Amino acid sequence: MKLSELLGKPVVDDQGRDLGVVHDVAATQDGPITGAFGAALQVDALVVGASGLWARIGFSQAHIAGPGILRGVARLGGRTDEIAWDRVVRIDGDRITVRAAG
Amino acid sequence: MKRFLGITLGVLTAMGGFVDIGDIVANAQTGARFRMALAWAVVLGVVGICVFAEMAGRVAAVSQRPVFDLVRERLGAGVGLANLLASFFITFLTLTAEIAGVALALQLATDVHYLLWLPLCGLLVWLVIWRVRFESMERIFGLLGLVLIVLAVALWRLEPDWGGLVDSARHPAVPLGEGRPTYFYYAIALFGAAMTPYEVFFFSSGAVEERWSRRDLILNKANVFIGFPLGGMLSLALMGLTATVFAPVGIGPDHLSTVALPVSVALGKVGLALVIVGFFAATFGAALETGLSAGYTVSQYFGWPWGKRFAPREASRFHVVVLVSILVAVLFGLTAVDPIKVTEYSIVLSAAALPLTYVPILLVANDPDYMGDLVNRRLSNVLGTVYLVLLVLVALVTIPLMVVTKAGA
Amino acid sequence: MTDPGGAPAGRRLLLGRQLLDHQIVDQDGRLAGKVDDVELTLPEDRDHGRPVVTALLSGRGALASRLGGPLGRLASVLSRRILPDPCDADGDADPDAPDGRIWFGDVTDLGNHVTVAVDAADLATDAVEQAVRRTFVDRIPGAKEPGA
Repeated sequence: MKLSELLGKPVVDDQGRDLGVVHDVAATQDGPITGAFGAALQVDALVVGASGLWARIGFSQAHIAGPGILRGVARLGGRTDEIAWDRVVRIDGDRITVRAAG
Repeated sequence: MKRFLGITLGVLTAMGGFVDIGDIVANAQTGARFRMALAWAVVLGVVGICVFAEMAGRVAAVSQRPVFDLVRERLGAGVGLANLLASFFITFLTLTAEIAGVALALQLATDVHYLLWLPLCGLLVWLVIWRVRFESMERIFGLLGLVLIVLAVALWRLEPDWGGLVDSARHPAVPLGEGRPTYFYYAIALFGAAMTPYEVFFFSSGAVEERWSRRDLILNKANVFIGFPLGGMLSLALMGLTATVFAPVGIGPDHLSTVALPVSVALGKVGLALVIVGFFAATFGAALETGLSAGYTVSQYFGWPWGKRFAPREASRFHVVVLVSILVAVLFGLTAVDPIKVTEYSIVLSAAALPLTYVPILLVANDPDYMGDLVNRRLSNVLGTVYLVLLVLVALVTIPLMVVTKAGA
Repeated sequence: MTDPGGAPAGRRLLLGRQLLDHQIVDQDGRLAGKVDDVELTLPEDRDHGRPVVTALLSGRGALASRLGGPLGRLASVLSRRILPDPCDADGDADPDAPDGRIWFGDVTDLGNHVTVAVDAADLATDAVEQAVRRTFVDRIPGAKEPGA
């Protein structure tokens, strides 16, 4: 699959609650050695937040470094949370379903 | 001397922002209609472009990446594309007007109709981009454009009512016979002209072409803090000239020849010759700036090799974009579309798109991944944020104002 | 957050923020397009095992398909049809033609740009550059030297 197929996809839990959309995908470099790169990157979590314009123009909290005022603006877009990849139950064409937390 | 020449990038960039064909006419018209009551808009623009050009130059020097290159990285491919389309459209319109402006300056000098000069001007602009080294191009046109200092000299020679001029600048009131919306429309036009996107694209790409590095941060500051205020000063001198000569009589200078009139009144034939050379150099410089920016923005969005520092065949797509843009600009110009109107529209439209340009600059200049320890200090951030808010407000009112005032009529 | 060079194992990256849409630079420092998309491969052995980043996608319509919508899909199909396939020395279509996929094992550095241990000339994005160069630019005098 492609990264673009994950980004922006709505995420719901298995109880039907809407958790937002995928803002980003986190990966850790702990896979098998791959060529000159070294340990491969393996996805370990989805970064999920409120849907909408704010994230699309790069103001998602995960993306902002810098002065307090810019971060304050980013916060207007709502919080982002990480959902560990092992909670992913199913990936469909129009949504990703994850196991509910807790 | 070498050090002095080092600021020519800033000077050349400022030409495009303050004394290109659109600005020449806009400043002349506002001087005649409002005297100096809109001087504050020019000053506001100078401060704004200084703040962001300093950031853009620093980003280019530290990360070797020009600003537009980073728009896609920070805003994503979708928003980046919208930004590209808007910027390219505006830059292209301005390119058309500038090439026509060069032709108009030649018409002023030779009495041969500007449409006859147009294809030759397009060819010359392209040839300079194709063959002349970036540094040489920058020096020649940056310095030649400075000839426009003759505007300030002419103003001084006319012995204007300095008190009156300063007064109308310090008490910006809408004069009788003009509406508030028109006043603000022209304010936005002047402010937008000072901060047009292609200035920062050109300046930061130029910094990479000149291979600035971390050691050139002082050079960056010198370029910005000397070049742009100089451009602003030339703008204001022109405004003062037409305020002095035309405002009392109530004529509006809407042709380049009328704009040149006060200078020949003050300084005779020599002054007129100098101002024509200055107009030629400034519009030619602006044509180079916009032609190159058309190539820079498209190439940097897609990640193609770009720039004049390589042999043209190493940056083929970049050069083809420039060539095609100039060609289409000449063809568009040959339809006898009014170049002044074209620039006015493009300036005002660009005012609507300014936040898109400046948000990524502020974001990147704060990002330690690109800047290391040279991220923005507090002053840059405060000013940058204030200006961003202002730009958003301007973007919101621009189009309605344009409609209401029928584009400043 | 990101370290230059090599592979300090265990570092964590945000693929959208730190990889997607970043500039690709070849082994000689030449600009070679942007990361238009990233290929993730689900391992077959376990159910929903962690996907591995296996390739960068650049050129050949990858951006157009990503931007999506009917216009994007059309642009993507067109770009695959219209853009010339690189030819080998005899002028025949080259079966080893780059397909827009850069194996992730060729990535040598992830900083703000992505460095790959490949020659730009072998990448899909360069195919267009070469075509443009052959058809237009090389025919204009003065194309081969930087300016005077």
